Amino acid sequence: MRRLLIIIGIEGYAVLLALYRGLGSVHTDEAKYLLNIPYPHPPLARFVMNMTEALPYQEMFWRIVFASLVTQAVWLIARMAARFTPEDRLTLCGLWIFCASVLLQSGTVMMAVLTALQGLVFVWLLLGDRKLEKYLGWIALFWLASLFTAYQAVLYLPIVVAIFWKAKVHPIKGVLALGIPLLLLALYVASNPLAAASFINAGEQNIGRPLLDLVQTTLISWLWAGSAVLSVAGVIGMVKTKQWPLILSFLLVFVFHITSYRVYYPVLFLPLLIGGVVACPWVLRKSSTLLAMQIVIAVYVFAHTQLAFYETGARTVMRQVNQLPSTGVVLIAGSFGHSWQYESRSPVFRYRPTLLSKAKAVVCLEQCPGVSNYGFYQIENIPQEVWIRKN
Amino acid sequence: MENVNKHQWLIFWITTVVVAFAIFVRLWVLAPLYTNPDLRSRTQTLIQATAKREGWLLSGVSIDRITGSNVRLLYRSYIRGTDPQSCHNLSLTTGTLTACDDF
Repeated sequence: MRRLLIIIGIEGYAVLLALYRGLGSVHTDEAKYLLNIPYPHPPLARFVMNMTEALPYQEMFWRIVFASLVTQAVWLIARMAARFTPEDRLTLCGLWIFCASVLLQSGTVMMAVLTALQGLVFVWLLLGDRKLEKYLGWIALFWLASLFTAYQAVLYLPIVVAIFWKAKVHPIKGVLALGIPLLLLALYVASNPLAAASFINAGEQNIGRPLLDLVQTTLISWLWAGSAVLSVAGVIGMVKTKQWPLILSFLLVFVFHITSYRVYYPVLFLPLLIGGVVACPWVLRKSSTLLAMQIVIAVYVFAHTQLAFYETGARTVMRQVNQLPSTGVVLIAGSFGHSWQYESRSPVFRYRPTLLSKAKAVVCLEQCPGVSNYGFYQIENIPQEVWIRKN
Repeated sequence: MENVNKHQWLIFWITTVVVAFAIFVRLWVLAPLYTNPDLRSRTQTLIQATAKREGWLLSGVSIDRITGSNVRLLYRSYIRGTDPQSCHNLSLTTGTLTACDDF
């Protein structure tokens, strides 16, 4: 009964985190996954998400699913800490539940969240005392699924190699089980020019920024991931116990941040930090102080987060456009994200004057010459310049 | 469950074969682009120019087939609900775009 109440309590927390992220509107990358737009990641997770497209609250549904998976992962962490004292186990669970990346990222429909959870499973397999020999086929399948969820799963390769090493699998079988999924991922990228282009683009985006600046951003990202407390404790733990798979993965995630930083990548540090603490319970010797500090930081982070309801222009504009009885496409002038497509019930095209005859509405995020001469009128009281076809 | 566990490696290998087959089918379609740098560069330029002219988003364009001097393109408008899709033949010699006859 007590366990059931805790599950319900955590679920309530997950729903709150999901609702918080849903206060605004769908992010362009979230829209890309929800609509199953085929880049940059392989199709597994976005295909599953797209199957629920008919749900009226598809976005909120997945926010709750993601937040639930992240927060309920605390049970896996409690299992990893089975040999800890109850106080240390509770502290470790608290460090997870109240860290900044769980607070602010678990309700996002981003692949990095799923990859971090997959990383946590690999860390659990590595540090647990299960007989892995019996499950290596499933682990290989999970590795394949992780890579086909998001290519960042490759950052946890040292951990997966260590799992196979620990299980004393036949070397050739091990190499094939690890290598074939990697080869398939490489071939997938080659077979999808758009994914390849965005892959290269992501790798080159930080070229030109000073290295010191990039390292500073990455350090902040690492500190933010575990709200400083878990960040420091995790790294001390993995270094002190010389957990080379965790250290190597940590370095890979660090370098990945330097080359391709995005605000939603800090969560990728999280399973490694948990692994560091699990490997070295010594870092929790002042457990109550650590948990108190983590909660104080969580309150500080949340207090400095905007809780106002803010709606993006895409949602505001498309709500009006979707109500129009006329048929036709929506033309958008200027740079826009996939969130515009997600909010639209009509096909979205880039603005070209030659397409005006097919359009029912034109959104001008920048100058769109010729609209006023083509039988459109501008609607008022809306943040963007929007033109609607006269009937 | 024990029965399924016994076949876990078989399930893994079958999955990899299925995934590999699906990827190789795609690669087979795109093979001319990998083997012929001139064709690759011309196709890229023409697709980008066509997308710009037609107001297409590049994320919605996919190459369905490359035959001789034509590229068969599928354009999908991703929206909530059923995505409208259209098929076009793009001439690699003239750059003209025509609707597919068999779509």
